[in-house]
Amino acid sequence: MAEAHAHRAAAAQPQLACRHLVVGYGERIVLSDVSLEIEPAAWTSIVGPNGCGKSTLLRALAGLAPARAGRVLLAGRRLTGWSGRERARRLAWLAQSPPATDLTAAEVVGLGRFAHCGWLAHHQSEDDAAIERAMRATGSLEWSQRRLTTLSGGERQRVHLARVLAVEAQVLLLDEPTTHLDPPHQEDVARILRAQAHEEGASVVSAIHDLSLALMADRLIVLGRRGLIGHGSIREALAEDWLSSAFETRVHIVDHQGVHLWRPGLP
Amino acid sequence: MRHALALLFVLLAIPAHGRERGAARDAEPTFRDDLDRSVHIPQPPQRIVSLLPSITETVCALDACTRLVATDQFSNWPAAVRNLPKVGGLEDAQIEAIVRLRPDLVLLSRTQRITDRLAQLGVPSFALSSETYASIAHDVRVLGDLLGDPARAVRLEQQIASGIETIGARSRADRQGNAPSVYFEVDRIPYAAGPTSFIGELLTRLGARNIVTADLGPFPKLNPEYVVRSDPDLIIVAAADAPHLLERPGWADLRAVREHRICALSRDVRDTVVRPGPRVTEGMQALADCLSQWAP
Amino acid sequence: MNAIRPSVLELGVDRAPRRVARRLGPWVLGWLLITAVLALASLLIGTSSLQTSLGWLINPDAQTSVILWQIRLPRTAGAWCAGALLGLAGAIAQGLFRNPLAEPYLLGTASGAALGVTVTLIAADASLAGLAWTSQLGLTLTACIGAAGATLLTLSLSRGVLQTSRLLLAGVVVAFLLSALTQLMLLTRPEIWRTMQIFLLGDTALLSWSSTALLATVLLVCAIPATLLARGLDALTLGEDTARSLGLSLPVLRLVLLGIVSLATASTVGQVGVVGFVGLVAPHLVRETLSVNHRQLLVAAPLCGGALLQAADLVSRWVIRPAELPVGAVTACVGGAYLVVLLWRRNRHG
Repeated sequence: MAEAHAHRAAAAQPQLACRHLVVGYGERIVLSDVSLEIEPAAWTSIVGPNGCGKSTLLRALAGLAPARAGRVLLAGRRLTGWSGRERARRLAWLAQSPPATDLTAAEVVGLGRFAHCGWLAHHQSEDDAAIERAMRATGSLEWSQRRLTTLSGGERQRVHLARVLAVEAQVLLLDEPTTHLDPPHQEDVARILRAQAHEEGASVVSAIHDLSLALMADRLIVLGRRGLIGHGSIREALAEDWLSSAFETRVHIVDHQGVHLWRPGLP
Repeated sequence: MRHALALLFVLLAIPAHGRERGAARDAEPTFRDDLDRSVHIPQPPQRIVSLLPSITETVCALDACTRLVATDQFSNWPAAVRNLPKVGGLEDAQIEAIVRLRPDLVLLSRTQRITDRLAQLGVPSFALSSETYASIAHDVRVLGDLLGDPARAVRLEQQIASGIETIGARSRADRQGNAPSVYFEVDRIPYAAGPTSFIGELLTRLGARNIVTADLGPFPKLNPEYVVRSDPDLIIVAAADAPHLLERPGWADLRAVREHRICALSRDVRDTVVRPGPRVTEGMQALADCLSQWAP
Repeated sequence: MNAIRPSVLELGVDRAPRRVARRLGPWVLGWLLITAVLALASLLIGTSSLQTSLGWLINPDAQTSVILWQIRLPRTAGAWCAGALLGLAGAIAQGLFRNPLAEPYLLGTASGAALGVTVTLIAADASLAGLAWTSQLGLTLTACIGAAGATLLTLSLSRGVLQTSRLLLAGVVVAFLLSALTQLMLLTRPEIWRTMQIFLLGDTALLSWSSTALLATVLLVCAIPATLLARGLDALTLGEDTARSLGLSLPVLRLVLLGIVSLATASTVGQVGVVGFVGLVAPHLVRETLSVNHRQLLVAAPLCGGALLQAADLVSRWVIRPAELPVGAVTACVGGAYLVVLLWRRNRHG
């Protein structure tokens, strides 16, 4: 997947897209008529106020929230047309706060290889290598034999991130991957996501609460209470001030030597 | 299912398995029991285990008490059986204890679980339904044949039949044509003895009228209101329950309660009334006494 | 229970990459040893004194060998198999419902089996024809039919296996409905009360080699696919959405595992009645003593459950010998006490 041709193929065609997507729970329509193309080999952040449907969008893109109308396309094919395992090999998803489990860190990360090795859990050397790479990348290797219930929230989050990386999928969908992490580790996550996009050619989509962190991405999807405000590069987003429309208040972003930072409006 | 089980069984069985098949079939006497099985009993059994009090009593009434090697925990008559080993109840009989006693026949009621297991272990068993009035004579006859003394059985059967006839006739004569209504309480739930039950049959023969109708079955669970509405002439209860009848809502106003027409049966007497065995005449006499003492 | 264990904390990947997996070996050996000791003890414990039994063992005659090899041994072997099935079903149920209080009977299987047995007993009581019919069918099969029926009813009420909360609720409703029906039928037929009482308490007294063979076969049939699907249960601990995102087909997983749970409990209930607590306690005991994923749990919980019921069977023979207690009464006392201890320890640890 890291090979050059995969990269080029990915560049030619968006791995993930949705057309006129409508998603809701019960009576409530959360997203209506959203059409997006996720840029390959780029890291896209989803931002927006609480309850605007960031998680729902990610779940719909991952095939976890059924679409009322419209469709999600994975590598040009309808998401529902893929078998579970095929889909899971191409698309990995990280829940906002996965429940505590008694499994060891290595076992959790190993589950990321389920789509590759199936029920028998017979890890081939390539599976083991992927697991180790993912754990090394997230700095979770040293706890590999500890149970998740004995880890701190931040350590746990890094194990789950490793699980998502271990899939080695072309599309990574992450719901608040930086929660529970202290600022240096938040930065680590941002670095990992950027590396996945730029070096591995993955389409990375993450919902991130922290605006400064979200702006480290290559592209933004901005959701407001009334739906999609805009989708484009950071530059476009800032130029057209999507963030202020999304949050329905003035959002100050300062450019500090090429790094975009959110500045609170309080004097 | 059975065949599959048997196959599995053969696969796992250890050498002793051969003896689980029971005795060989030849031309010797074979009896049909109330589970509709044909039971092969080559000669009159000498080591008998009885798992039902009424059967224990019938065996002893046929002068075969000495052939009993164990009984269930409820058998308490005649006195001789009280010293015999007790091997549990009918449903929780102790298989191992039974096998240790090397019985040549286990007498029991129609209970599937125990008979199946005993059959597997090669212990012959014979089931008697022993529930109804008719089963008294039936049990006596069948046990007489099994024990090899049919003549004694015929005498006992006649004795019981004539006893019942005499007590019944005398009681009916005493009633002078008016049948007192009776409520016989089996349990304070309240369960009543209906006319189709063994007890109900006795009451009918004594010239009493059961407040429970036949369509309710042998031992219906009654609404207490049913008893209050029927307002029986006589209530027959266990001695332990008699003092508490007043506490039941509405029962204080029952005619039978107000006029103390309550026949409280002691545990021993109750045994003779509720067991369809050879002491049925004693039980019937006790009921007859109830009627003549308390009925209007 | 989730307190940090020093032994686990110290582990690093380089020093012991497969440390947890390796601990399963001694653990399994330990339980097998316990089972062997209990099996030996089971030959000695019964209506006779220990010395007498020992004498029989050394110098058996035809009758005593029947007692040793056809009564005592199949009883302990059958109890082990039944306990193992309950332990397996309990471990699956707890994983499937992601609830440590889930137990094998939660789909209404026990009530269904009880209803099946009640109907059989009443039919047997009603007529000779009914009797012939039931003796052909056997209580075991009718218990299984009842349990399977209850499971199907639960599944149809919950409209499939998509939502565990709906499944649990449907299971509770079905259990209530069916046991109410059973009680109603018992009310009209007080004469079969005692049989049902013993059935509902659980009883190992009548286990034979054929019932042991049946239970052992069911154990194999259940344990093999269950351990193959253990990774699915592992994935489920991360949440249903995550499990689906990993490529797992939850409906298939649930259907197969629920089928295994039903088969295991139905055949157990058919042979030994509704033995309580073993299915609930065995997986807990494993998690207490062994750091486990589900594959290990599904191997360890049956071993543990088997030994537990075997031990309970011995206690039931021993306590008031030569009479005996129903084994369900023993497991309820011991299992209840264990849960109280667990609760108390948790409270103390905050």
